[in-house]
Amino acid sequence: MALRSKRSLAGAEAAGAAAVAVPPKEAPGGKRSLAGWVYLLPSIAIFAIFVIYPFARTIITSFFATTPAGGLTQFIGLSNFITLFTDPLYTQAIANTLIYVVLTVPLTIVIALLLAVLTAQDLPGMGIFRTIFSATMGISVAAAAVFWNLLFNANSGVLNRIIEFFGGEGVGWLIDQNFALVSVSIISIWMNLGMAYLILLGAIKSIDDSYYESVDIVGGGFWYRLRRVTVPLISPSLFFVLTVTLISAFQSFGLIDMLTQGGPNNATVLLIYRLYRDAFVNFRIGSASAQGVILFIVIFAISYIQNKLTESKVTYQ
Amino acid sequence: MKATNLSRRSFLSLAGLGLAATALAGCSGGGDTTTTENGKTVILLWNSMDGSRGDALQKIVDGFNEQSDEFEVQSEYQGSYDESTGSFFNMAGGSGAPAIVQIGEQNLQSMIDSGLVANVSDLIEQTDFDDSDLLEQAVNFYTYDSSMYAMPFNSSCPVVYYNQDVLTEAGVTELPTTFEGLTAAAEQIAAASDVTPVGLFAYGYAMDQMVTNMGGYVVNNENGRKERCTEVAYQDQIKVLFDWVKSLNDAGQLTPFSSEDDAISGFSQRQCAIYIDTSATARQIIDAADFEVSIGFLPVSEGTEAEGIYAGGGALCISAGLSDDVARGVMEFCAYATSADVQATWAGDTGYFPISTGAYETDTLSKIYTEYPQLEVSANQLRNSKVNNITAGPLCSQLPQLRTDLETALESVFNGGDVDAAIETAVNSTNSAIESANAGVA
Amino acid sequence: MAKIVCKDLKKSYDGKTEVLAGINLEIQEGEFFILVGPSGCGKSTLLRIIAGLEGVSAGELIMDGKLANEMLPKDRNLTMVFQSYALYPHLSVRDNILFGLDVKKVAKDEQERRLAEAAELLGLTDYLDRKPRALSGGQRQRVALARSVCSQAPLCLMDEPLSNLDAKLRASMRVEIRRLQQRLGLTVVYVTHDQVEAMTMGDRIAVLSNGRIQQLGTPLELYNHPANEFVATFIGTPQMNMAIAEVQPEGLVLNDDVVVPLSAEDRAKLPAGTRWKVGFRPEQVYPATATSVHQVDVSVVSSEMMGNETLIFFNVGSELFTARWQGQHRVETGAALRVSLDPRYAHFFDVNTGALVRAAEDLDEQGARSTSVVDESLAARMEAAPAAPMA
Repeated sequence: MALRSKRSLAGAEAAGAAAVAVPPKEAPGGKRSLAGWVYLLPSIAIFAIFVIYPFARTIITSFFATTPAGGLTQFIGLSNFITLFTDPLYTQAIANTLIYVVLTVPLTIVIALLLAVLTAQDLPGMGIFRTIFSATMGISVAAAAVFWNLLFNANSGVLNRIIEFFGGEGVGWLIDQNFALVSVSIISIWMNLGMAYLILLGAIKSIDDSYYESVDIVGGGFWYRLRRVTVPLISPSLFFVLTVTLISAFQSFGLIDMLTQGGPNNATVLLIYRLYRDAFVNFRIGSASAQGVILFIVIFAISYIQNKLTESKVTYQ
Repeated sequence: MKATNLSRRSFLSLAGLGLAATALAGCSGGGDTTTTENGKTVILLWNSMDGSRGDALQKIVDGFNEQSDEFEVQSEYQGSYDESTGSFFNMAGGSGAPAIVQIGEQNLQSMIDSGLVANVSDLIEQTDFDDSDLLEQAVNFYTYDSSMYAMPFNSSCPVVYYNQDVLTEAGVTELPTTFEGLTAAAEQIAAASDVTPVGLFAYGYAMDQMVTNMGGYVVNNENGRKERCTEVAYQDQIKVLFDWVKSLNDAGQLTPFSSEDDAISGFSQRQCAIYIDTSATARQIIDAADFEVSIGFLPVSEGTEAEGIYAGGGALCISAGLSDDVARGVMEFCAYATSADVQATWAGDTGYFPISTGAYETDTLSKIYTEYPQLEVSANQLRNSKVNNITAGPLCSQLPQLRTDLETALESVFNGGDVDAAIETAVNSTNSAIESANAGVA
Repeated sequence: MAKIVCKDLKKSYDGKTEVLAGINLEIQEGEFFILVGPSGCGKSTLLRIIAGLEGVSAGELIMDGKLANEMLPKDRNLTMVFQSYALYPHLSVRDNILFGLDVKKVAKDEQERRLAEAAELLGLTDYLDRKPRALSGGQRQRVALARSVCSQAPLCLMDEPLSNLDAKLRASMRVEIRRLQQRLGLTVVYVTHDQVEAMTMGDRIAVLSNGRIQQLGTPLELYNHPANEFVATFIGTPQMNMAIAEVQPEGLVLNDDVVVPLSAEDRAKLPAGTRWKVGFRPEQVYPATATSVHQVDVSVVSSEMMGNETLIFFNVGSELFTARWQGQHRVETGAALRVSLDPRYAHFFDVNTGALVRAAEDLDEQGARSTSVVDESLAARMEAAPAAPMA
């Protein structure tokens, strides 16, 4: 320590002598970045433990046969994946998921957009409608499942009673295998409308009035306004809503578990539900991990494609 | 200058490591398994009894705690059998893991495979537990490789519920015992009233019980008892069952329900006159219905004898690696819970039937059966069962999957699908699941 | 026939406060008509009523001879330039200029022709493929103008289009807009709060305040004959010097402070009454000469040298008066100053209502005042310099 101090003193003198000519030095890069790392360490630690480690572990587990408690027994390579892709029920789950996503995502956005455009006008009493349309945001999946179950009841549900009142034949909403997925999609759209509507309404309200007045002066109608003004100017919000709705559609689990448990006849088994069943009911952790990996790849691929296709159309102001 | 820099550097490093360590501190594993409270050793029990059944269980727990100076049982509801099994696996012996966990019969193999449960026969020997009173058929189910792996506790079985008023009106004098008899009764009901005769919901447990009752193995290798099972063996019996369902459906005498709750409400609202469900809800249904309810045995084919059913329902698994003290307490609780009077009251409060032979002699039970004679029927169905590997019931880690596949197949038959195709799909699906599950234990 | 006629036009949003309280005006075809006034006076509202973006509460709006109260904007055959330009960020300059022509069903080749013409006219030919965010403020302005030109509507409404530009750009754009209007023969209704724009660009100006037209006339009319105190102080920069004047035995007392000596002739020429509000334009506060009759002694508060003229500030009572002298005069703060305030060049307003009682006398052709004899050196300088217009 003493030796160092002497040297530093000498160095300081020399530096002092040259101080007039030489500009002062900053702290060397090494010491600065050490401080930076120290501040980052808690965040990195938490992220590593709760995100990176489980993710890596899942990938590893997918290549193994497992005990019911999740322990790894023997390395079986891609065997889990091959079994899944040759299982007709799994490919059906893939098809179900794609149909479900194609049904819910575009409809949610289109309906939310139309509702937002209609309620963006400042007419008296509009506040009531705005509250009603965004109210579905506050409803939990369980509550929604309970009363939609009552609505959809094939024998005593309100919907079928209305249909029969008008002379039609009641539909087996949740028990007809051709209809169950559509029914679940309807509930899903209804539930997601709230948030999408609110975000789009906010975006629409932030559009300067002069854009619309410009259209009034040239004589454009409702659809002209929607196409040429509203949609392009809210494109950042639209992009956001699209991305979020798309990703959450792939992860929608609660409704299926509470309403149909994957039935009837596996018509409503989605990828995520199949994963849950294999992991927590059948205790086939290896297969479930493989499904997790597949689901990740699917969501990633679709998000990437969606991004590439639509990002260029978004104008940021 | 340099000296200051160095110490600042080491301070930063230490601070950083300290922060990281604090962040990671929450991830500590392991811990002690017993804790004491006002002198009594705590025994943690995880159960899956919700609603009024939970209250009835609490009565038993309270009763035990009152008469024990040394032990206190704390009972926690942990969701369904499958959910609590999953949670139990995740706990893997850490602090907060239960000493006793209630399982459904479908979880038995998984529990054994996990290696986390104790050999109950050993514990019985170790603590001089008197197991002579336990119902033989129940013990039979939970025995594997000559050892018990769970203590029977709440037994139920599927039964056929009848709306007696409608039956009498239609001129059905005797409760049917065969498929043909049920079909005939359905005809009479359809002719006499506008109530749809039969209602069914896809209930895997009922189906594999019916296979057993018809004398078939559910899975091969003698229901997995001789050796680990490798594939299903129920095809013949299920075909008989499905053909019967199809014939009812074609004749317009069947109304399908989407779930058990749906079926219960449907039956109570006279949307059907006959339906199949577990006896565990018997009390609930009898009390809620505004008509007379009768209960009958599961049907078999004409000309065959009923083999009997296996003791389904739930049982108590005991955690492996308990200290001697806690193990003793656990067995004491088991002794209490399986004693005659307790089982009799438990049966009356719920609809489960007693797994203690002595219970059937008690006054408590006689009184209950006088008031609710229907409850005795379910008990008799079990007591009349033969004791062999068929009625031992299936032992298979993929039993939940097997049931789900059968439920799917039944639903496709509800929708008019082909019976053979439906059965084949179910068989293939279950077999591949069993195969990959076995690979994991090899 | 007048292009636009407003008959007793009234507008109220809540039925209680009147934003426009009875507007009467006529705008001729081909006229550059300016609506000017402070914030909140109703000028933008009036413009939007003409555009059809706001409704009329009472009164009549007649356009091209037809009653236009209920007419939709698109039927009024007009185009509008907004303060924010309303350029669509997702469209290129080309598409922004052509905006709306497809609704009017103009043929594609016709659209291209108009586009080329307008781009040429406004110097945008090189920028057609850019997006608005890659343009400067002035260029965006021109795109908005190009859009209006392309629409070929005979009536163009402009809502404070220059307020987002810096001073220098504003000056050059003023000229350009005026030139454009004259070249194309457009009728322009132009709203601004800047009286410099109003004075330099308009054929006729309507000064609004509190929902009423204070005065309507040509720029010089407003400048020389303001109808009331408001117009007098609003028009002209620096602002007209106002003071309360009382005629007393010693002379005309301004703000109970400065006394302007009065000759008998002056007293005779005074308007009726003994107390008024008087206004002196800064350029009519002359340096006093040896022979000035109306000289007063004041003390300089500060001065500003503009290069071509000097502004000198002094107190009259509590009011700060501004004198505007041609040329460069070094005046020290606190120095004593002698200025000439000739009542002939003062505007007299009613002390209570502010209405004009008598305007100042007109200037002669050379633009010089004949009664005040200027200082020798000043005179020499003034003779050497060409006569500058006083407006």
